[in-house]
Amino acid sequence: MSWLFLTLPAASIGAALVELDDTCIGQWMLSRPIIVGPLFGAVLGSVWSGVAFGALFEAFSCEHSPVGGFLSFNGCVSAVCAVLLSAGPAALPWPADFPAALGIGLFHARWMEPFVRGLRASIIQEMESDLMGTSPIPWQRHLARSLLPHAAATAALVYCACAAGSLLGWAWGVFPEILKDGLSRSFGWSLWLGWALLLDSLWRRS
Amino acid sequence: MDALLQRRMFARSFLLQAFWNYERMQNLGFLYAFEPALLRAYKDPAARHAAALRHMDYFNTQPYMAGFILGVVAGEEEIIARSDQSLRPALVARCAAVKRAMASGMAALGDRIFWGAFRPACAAATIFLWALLWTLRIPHPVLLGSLAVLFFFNWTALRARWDGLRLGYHWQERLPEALSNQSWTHWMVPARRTGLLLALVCAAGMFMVPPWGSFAFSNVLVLAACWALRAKGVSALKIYAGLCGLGCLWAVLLRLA
Repeated sequence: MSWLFLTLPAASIGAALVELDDTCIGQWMLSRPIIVGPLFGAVLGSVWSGVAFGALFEAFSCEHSPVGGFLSFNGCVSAVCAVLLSAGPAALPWPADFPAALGIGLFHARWMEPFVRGLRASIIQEMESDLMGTSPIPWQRHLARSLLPHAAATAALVYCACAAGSLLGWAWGVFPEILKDGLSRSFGWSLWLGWALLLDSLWRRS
Repeated sequence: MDALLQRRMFARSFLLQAFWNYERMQNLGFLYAFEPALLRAYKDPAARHAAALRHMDYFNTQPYMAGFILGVVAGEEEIIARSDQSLRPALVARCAAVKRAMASGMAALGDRIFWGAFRPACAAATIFLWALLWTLRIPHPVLLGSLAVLFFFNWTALRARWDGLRLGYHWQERLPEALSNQSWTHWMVPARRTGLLLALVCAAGMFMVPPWGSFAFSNVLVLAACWALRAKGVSALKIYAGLCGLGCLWAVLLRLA
């Protein structure tokens, strides 16, 4: 129970705060999967799963540049969820963990973040009406309205997805052996896919 | 630009993307970072707010390169604030045009340097450092390797943000010429080549480590096939989906055999 009511909420809030570095605050690279994966792995006592998933999701996120409004998938959320799902009580095996975490990262980037960004349109209108007067702009209020929904949505997604980890563990248990074998084999190959993506991103632009 | 103004704009530039929206992208983030310059240029709140409204337009650039544009526009805005009323419309139009042109130019340069070169090169360097420190049996290889690369990346990115403010303010429209003399803009190709070399060394090293070493030929085949598909423009997700399908097919064939 301490996992559901203590460790997972704390990890979800931590993940949401670190994830703000990805597109909102700073861009100090703290939210890169290669940094956040080992960090959460070390905190949760599973450094090597953090290293493996961090490096793999980093390679996947090198495919696209975050130019303009384009969001391919959220490597930070994927890496954190992968570590939480494998280090949590469900102890999801890596071949099942990887596609699940990839799906969570895709959901965050393609549905959740565009929705949160859409909510910010009202801040522009408020700001324009603020500027019609002469009183100082209430930046703190606007910042809170912009960043809090983003962080709250990320924390909620990480918490719900990882709390459902036990369901995923159960589903993996009843999966046909052939499919399990196939997914395990494809996970082994996906490490080489990761290398191919990294090499391509460095080679192509050279 | 004095040090106090530079420090205030530098600190605020970290929130450039905090208000990112689909309608006008980084416009509010730009205004937030630019507010100290407006406070300096316009003492009258009404004039300041009128100037701020002009900066509510569409704005988008690479976040590490925003300092250059903030510096250029701060200089332009000081000229507007000091000018006669009759000259203002022309100066305002020039300021908006310079801001727009600089934003897209700097975005193209920053995307190539930071997203296209430094980011993948830093990923390769991190993995290489992890492997090297672990092989040399140095304690905490993951922590040390990650910190070293974070330090290198941020040193470059923070320098671009900090120097950008000063250079933009000082050079104004001559900024592109000044940038061509900045040493860090020439690091792009060496960074990519170093990253590629480190990634190749690490990938080759993995073939010597069990369990991958025992399946070296099939792994080389998978690596080459994935790289070729990616070079053809096939997305990583599609390649992974293909690998899953292939893995299941392989498992079925093995059962049947």
